[in-house]
Amino acid sequence: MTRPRLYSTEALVLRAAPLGEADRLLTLLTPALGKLQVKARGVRKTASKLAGHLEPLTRSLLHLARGQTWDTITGAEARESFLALKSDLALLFRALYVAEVADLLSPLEEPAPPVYALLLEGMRALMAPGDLDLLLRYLEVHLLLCAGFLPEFQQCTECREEVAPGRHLFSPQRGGVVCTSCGSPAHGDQPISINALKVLRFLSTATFGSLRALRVPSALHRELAQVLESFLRHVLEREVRSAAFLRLAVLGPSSLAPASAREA
Amino acid sequence: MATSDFYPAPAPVARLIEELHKLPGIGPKTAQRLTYHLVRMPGEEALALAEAILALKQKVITCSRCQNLTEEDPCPLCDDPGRDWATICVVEQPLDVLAIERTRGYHGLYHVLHGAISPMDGIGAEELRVRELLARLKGGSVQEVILATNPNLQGEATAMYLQRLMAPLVPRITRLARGLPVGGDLEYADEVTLIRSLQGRQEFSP
Repeated sequence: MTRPRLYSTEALVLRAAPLGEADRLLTLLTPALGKLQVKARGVRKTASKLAGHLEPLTRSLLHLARGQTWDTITGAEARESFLALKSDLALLFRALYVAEVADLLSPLEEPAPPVYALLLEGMRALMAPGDLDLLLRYLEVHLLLCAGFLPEFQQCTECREEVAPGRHLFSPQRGGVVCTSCGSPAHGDQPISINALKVLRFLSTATFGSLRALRVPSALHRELAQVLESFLRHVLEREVRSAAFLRLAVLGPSSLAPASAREA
Repeated sequence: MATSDFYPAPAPVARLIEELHKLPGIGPKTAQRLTYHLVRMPGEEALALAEAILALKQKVITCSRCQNLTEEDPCPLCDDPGRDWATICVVEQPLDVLAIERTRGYHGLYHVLHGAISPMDGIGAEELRVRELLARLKGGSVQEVILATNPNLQGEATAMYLQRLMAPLVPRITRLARGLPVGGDLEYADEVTLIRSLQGRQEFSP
């Protein structure tokens, strides 16, 4: 889509990388223009008027000028800073993980109003009380759904039969659940419990509000995280880098020490 | 490609273009311009540049205490008896040490992390000089650690992370004040900066 020479959009800043002397290259998620990479000039200087409005995990109203390689930000006004997320390490690592998954699953310049709405609701939900791990699984499932990669949780992806309890496996390569006749652990298919499958089915149709009703035991949490991690790795063909930090955040403060410091 | 397919540059020229292109902020065109500028440069000036680069790699080491760049170990700052050895200021980069030293307002020691925690880039504590910092605190002589990482997302994450790690090891952990910059306009300030400024306000006695 060709953008006008000067345009305005609301955006959530997903990430920022240093560029040149004092600039930053920002990855934005916008509702109507999708994911954009834009240049923010001079924002690494202390007296920059724009810097505070363009920090990662900030929702801002932006004014931009079309450029040859990257569009340039000419004005910015923060609308939602998610300060509570940025003041707690465990919440911050979770929010950055969600932002990275959204970044990796979103193609450049494809309009994505549902992903934008989902991310904003997700950031707000992370700051509210509730089961934060279940919330992450919900966001993973719905980001996959928006990107068109939702795994099949109902029928065998090979023979299309309804899966019977206890007779199924999960296959990232084949895009979902497979029955024991079609799949085999020898081909990399992994066992998945019927309860994990039920939770995943529930998550794919649930809303933020309905998440609160669900109680998930910790063993099931680990299984859900593992299933979705392996599926994301298959779809993205790489690791989600911030996932490693998520595991630290979940385990609590003492585990945050680097391995070498713990040994010392 | 740095060189033309039709009129290939001489091999040494092409090699230098390729090497310069690896530097941050240097694109293929700038690399070409710099290379041809060096070709025209008097021999002794080009040699001086080459020697400066060599000396950098041969003589500059990191100080075993503060991890700052130095020619001798320990560095002059760590070896200075006039400095306050009970205070350590933790910064991200060697350039931050120069910035704080320029103020002439700080007389303690430093610790350079050589980066900041950045989950999306896969940079965690293992990639920074965190272990060396914790080792310096083990002796119990340090009374205050000043967290002077950048006031951005990575810097804040690093500060929060270090605070958790160091809390049992040092009596006082402080963070550089975050708020309105000198010469700035209040009306342009973002919500986070204003909140931090209000939280960090002080008694006013001009």
